[in-house]
Amino acid sequence: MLDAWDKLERWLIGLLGALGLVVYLTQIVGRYITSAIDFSMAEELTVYIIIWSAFLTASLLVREDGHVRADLLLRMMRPGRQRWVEIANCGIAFGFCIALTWYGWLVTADSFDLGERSNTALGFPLWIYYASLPVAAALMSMRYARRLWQFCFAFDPATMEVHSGHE
Amino acid sequence: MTKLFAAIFFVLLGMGLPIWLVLGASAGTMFAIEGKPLVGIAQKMLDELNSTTLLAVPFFVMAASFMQRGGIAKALVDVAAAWVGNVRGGLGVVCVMACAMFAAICGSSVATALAMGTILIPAMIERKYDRPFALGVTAASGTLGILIPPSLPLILYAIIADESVPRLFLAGVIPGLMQASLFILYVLWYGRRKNLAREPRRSPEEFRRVNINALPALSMPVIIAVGIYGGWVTTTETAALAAAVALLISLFYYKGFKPSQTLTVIGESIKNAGTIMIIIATALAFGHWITESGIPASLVQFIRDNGFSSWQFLLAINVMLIVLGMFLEVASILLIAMPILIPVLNPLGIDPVHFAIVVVVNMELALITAPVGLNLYVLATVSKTPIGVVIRGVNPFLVLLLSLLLAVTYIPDLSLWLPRLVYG
Repeated sequence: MLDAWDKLERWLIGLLGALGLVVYLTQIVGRYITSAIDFSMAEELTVYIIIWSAFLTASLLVREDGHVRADLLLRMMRPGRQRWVEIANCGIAFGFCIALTWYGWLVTADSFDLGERSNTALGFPLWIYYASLPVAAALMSMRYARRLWQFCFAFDPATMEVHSGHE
Repeated sequence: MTKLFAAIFFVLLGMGLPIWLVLGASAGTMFAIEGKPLVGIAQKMLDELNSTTLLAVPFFVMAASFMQRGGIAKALVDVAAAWVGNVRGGLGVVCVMACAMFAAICGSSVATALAMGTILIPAMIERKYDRPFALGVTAASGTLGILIPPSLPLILYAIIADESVPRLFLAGVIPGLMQASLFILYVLWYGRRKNLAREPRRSPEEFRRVNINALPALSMPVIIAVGIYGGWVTTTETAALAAAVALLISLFYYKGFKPSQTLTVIGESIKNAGTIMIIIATALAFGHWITESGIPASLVQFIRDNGFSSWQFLLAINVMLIVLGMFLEVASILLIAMPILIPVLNPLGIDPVHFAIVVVVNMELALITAPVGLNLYVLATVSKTPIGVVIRGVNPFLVLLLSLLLAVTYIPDLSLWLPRLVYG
């Protein structure tokens, strides 16, 4: 079930990324072909598509422990100690993500109720863009809850390996 | 208040909480204590990400992934070997040159070091180059990725400082070429002293074949330069074009990966870009709090009261950034430190474009200084070498890079001359 979800997330992220690139290229090429269509819409759309994909990635990054972090001090501790610090980390992360889900939801719901649209030719309903934040935060909350559970009840010291982040 | 904030921030950071959460949670706590509505953080994150400039980050990362997997790196190495390989330590010179060319297409140091390392480190070891040197020269030359334009850290800096991206890019050109020249001189000296192998001279047919094969790869820096500086397209559009061209020539000319793998490669690049973008989201909310909290203003006051001059300030900042660079990675340092430092530049009469290059050279050092130097770890992993060996190999290059840092810090014209010449 969870594996299927990981796969779906990976596939969705790749698809949205590719879609973003294609839509954006249409905009560059399009404006040299015809001036009948306002291609600035495509630019705006690309931002929404790419941000959705980036936020979905955030959930996958929790799963793979890929979020950038300064874990030098942490990795110097014995596995037993690391476990407690990781439990605290997952707790804070879970709390923050729940809060972010709630406040992101408020922003989205407000925007929906007000019928807020972007101030451009496209007039895009902004709640669709805003929804990326609560959705990502909710997905991350679930991932962190699972991580928390693992550290609390299914801890294996051998899994405490060194990770380094990305540029 | 500032002390409480610093305490929360550093404890969370030291605990190894992901950086985006450290920034988000400390900003959130301060918002809550000051009685500001927390919904402001969510709104701020969404507003800041709604930017076309920022799109350049995922597109350049995509371009880098395509190039790294698609055989473009190999073509650049071959052409450099044909031109400059026939000297003692030739593969070392090839490494610096190929990294510089790759850096003119790619905005990331880790991608540059990785692309070159997978090809050149085994080749150098086969030719009996000593392992520390082989790894050191690749790790250090890889850092050119963020100095020679395009450069992801310079795009981030442009967003934080509200500067023009093409201007910042141009400012990196001369320091980048200086770094490459310094490295080449050192490699030549080292190659003679250690009597390292030369690459065989190529037959005229072979020379021609290698050059023709590299043409599509070499066209990429031209596309990028014409796009950005010719004023035809924006930086983000250039990034998207670079990604598209890299994809096409990787798929159909060099055949580095199959069309069916395209979505996977794009997914991987979105994941790499995503690690930066989520930090940007909370960092800008955090930067907002920093500005309102008056920390930059009190820093300016402190500098005025103590009569610090700009050169003293720059020296102090260099020391601070080098220390930060030992423990944090590039995007985090930029996003944490720049909102505090940039407001101080104007009162001290420091040009933000000059400062950007000082910062980026510091970030290059950050990539190759232990304990947290990403290039060191990436290369240790791909070449299955203990990290200590990489650190030993990179040391001479650290000294060279430090001297470049001094030059760039105290001779502003090195960074400012070219952008002034072009943009006035």
